Amino acid sequence: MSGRLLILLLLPGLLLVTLLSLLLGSVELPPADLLSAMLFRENSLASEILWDYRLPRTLFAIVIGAMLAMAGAMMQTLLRNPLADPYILGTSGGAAVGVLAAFYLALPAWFHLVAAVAGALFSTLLLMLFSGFRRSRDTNRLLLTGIVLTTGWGALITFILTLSPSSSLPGMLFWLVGDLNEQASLTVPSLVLLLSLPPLLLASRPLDLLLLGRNQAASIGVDVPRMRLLLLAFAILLTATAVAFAGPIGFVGLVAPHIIRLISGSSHRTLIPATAILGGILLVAADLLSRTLIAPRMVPAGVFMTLLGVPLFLYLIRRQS
Amino acid sequence: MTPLVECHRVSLKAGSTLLTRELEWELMPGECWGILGPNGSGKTTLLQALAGLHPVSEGEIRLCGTAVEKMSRRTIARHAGLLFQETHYPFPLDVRDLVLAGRYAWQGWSGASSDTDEQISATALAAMRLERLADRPVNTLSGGERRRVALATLLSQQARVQLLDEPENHLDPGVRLKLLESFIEQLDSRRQATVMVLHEPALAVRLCTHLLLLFDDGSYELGETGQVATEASMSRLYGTRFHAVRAGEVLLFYPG
Repeated sequence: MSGRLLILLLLPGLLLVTLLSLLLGSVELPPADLLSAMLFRENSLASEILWDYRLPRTLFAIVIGAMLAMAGAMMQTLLRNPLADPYILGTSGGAAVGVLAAFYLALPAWFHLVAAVAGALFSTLLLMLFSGFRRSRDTNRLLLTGIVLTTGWGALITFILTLSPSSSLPGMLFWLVGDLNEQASLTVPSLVLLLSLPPLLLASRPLDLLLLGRNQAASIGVDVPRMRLLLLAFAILLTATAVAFAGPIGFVGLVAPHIIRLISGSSHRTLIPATAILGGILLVAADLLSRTLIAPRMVPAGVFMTLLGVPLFLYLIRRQS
Repeated sequence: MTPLVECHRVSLKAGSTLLTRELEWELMPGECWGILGPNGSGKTTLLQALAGLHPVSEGEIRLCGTAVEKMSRRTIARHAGLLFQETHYPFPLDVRDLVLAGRYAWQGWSGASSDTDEQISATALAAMRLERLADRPVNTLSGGERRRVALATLLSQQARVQLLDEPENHLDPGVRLKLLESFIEQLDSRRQATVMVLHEPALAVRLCTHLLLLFDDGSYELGETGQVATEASMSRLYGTRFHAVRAGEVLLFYPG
């Protein structure tokens, strides 16, 4: 399918889940009330729920989903491996440890993002150093290194949780499993997302060629070190921002790019925007399930993403070997 | 006329092992050089150094008069294109798109392909007899078909120097010679030239105007094919006795 057509089909999909996410929730509101609240800003319960709760939450899910999906696609191109994902390879874990450490030390809120970037960067550098980055064809070594890093970050997370006062534990735990309930701010994630799109789209052609491998890409004229730096920088920035604001939500970065590649190939000009939109759709859908499935209780959205991602990942491993 | 490639006292190392010592060599347009040598004598390393992908430990390599290390990747790609020994594609990619990728060094920053680019890559596809496979994903092709795709990509790159690392890999014995001959025929002998690493002396003798022999100890011998391809030099090169037989116009070497 052509890239333009795919994007044209994805946009109504995004609109549809957005509408569903606005209409459905733990408080059942008659559609007529919601419709009138949507069209006219009035002082009613429906209006308050719609504009103050459901809309910000839905937009937040779209932005975070888009960021995570793009980060996954960047990692896959960087490591030339369709199984690469910031969550599986420990990048999210590194960011999470950074954020929890900042929580624990009661550092100001803006420092959470800095700590997340530092953790994600450190973890990714370790991954590249120990996985034999130059021979990234070795999927086993890449995944094993990622799993070991993830396990290590997991232990550190438990350690920090153990030290933390019990009053702050529920908040930390819900953040950890990807809960969109307490969205902090929409501004910073949206800015990061909007700033990432132009440079990545402009570089879409050389990014395609990077998939041929380091030497082959260089031999036809691609500035490989610069492209790798671009991918690394944005994969880390997108992952870290998503983790800092929404917690480490897994598998969006694995599922979304995989589906887009199946439908329209691996050209980045399509892959980047289409993956972003699909990532938004997936996370809004996961969040919708989390709010409605056993309402009024809420399951964190990250749980549903993981439940969707694990079977796909197993299928991909089986197909690769 | 400026040579396409100049090597001045070039020494190459892999790790700490010395491969090539003080190579003096010039490549002129229209020439076709065959590089022969035993395993580990530095044939691939030399090709990669010519494409700026392996540093020289001493000396200097110039492409059309300019030192390789001073050129951007894009400029190098316009001067020297490389066919790798093996290729690996973990993501699906159509044959047509891969061949078009050879045009990257000639395209603007957006990487949009012009009609000229399309035309050049279509000619390259046809020359390697790939029209039938143009819409297939590369990772579904056989080794020999993938080899032809890589050769077509190199043709569409239109570099001044074609560097081929074991181009005969995966190709059927029946089509090997014809395919490489039609590859060379596609080149403009007034501005382009070919360098190929080969394992088979007989193939080198049939295809190449000149030979460069790389010996185990880092020394080398070079010259026109007729003068270099002798029983004595082949025997010394591979460390075992070689005999030459002439069958019609074909010169064959066999060990024993």
